Amino acid sequence: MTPVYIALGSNLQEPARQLCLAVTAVSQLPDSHIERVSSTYRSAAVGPGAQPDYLNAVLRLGTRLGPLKLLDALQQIEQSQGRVRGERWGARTLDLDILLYGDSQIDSERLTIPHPAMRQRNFVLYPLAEIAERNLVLPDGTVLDTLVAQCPRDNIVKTGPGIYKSQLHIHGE
Amino acid sequence: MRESTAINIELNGRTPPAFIAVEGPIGVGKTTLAKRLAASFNYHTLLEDAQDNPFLENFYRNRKPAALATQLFFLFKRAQKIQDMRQRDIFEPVRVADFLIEKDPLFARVNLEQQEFQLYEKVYQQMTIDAPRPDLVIYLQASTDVLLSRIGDRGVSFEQGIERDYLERLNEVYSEFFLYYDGAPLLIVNASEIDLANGESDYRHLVDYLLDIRSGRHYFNPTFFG
Repeated sequence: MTPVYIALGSNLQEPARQLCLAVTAVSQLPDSHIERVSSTYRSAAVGPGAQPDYLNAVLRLGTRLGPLKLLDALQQIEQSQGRVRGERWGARTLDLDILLYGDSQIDSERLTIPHPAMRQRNFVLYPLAEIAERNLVLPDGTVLDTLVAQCPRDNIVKTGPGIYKSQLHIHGE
Repeated sequence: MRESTAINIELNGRTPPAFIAVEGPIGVGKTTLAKRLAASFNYHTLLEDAQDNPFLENFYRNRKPAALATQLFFLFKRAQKIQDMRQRDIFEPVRVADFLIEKDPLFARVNLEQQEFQLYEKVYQQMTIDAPRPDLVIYLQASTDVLLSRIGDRGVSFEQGIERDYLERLNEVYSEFFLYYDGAPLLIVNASEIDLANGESDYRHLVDYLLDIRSGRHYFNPTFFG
């Protein structure tokens, strides 16, 4: 099993719902299983125009799928959730990006790993750091903790999991 | 109560989960699916009968003042149902419910003011709710637009005042809860585009799918089947 980190993001069509469906769809990929899911992080959209807030998370997948097979599968999930009712193919409502694929460095037409934009983005680095193995080092020798320390947290707000723990006894646990 | 309008389902030697809980936001079709499954498997239903809550009508008219009473009524009722069910367990071992007790605090967090919520938490923590663990949880999931149109279609008068913002917030809380839920095997159903109430083939497809689930998270998304 190769440990793979995948970033999830959505800002359309009820983002929490999109992430919930995406995690479930990823959990059904062949020869793979989800090892950890980070909290969700909300951040205001950057750039011109009034866009809804983004919701992001990172998950760690153990997989035997090769990087391109995995990319195909993730794109299929993006497309199936991007479909808007009433239209054949509507706006994309979900992004799934492979951040790291084991220790691999990949530079092909379809895929660049480590993901080129992950080094500066707070909404990727903070959830990644939450679930990454201790002292994770990127293939080029960069230490994840150093990237996080250099990246201001700014406006991202941790929203999930927020599950209420109680005195509830579930029989059989 | 035992449902009678059975639909023949090919089990092919598979055993249905002994205790199934169906969950999801208002209007998504929990109770309908719970009754249908009960009929197919010859199970008893455990229904929360939300409309029997005497505070609910006022709550939908003006949420804040009625929120705590509505919430406490639901909490005691749900706990009572679970208690009754445990007592009858030996005689009626198989059933399908249209609620999970864990939903109760989710609603409380959305609906109560901070001080009310603190009071609610105290009550909740004083209660010992000994809930049996479901063998399968089915989370029916749909967009807020779909929920609004289904609430309109079923035409329960006091539900017509439910605001879009409120429904959207509930939908979000459910999504976040089930994003991390690992208390039982989980089947998430994308119920936006299928008709589990009347449609024959979507329903059969779903039952056939759930009979193979033993553990983990699963996603039934009919758009994958084209």
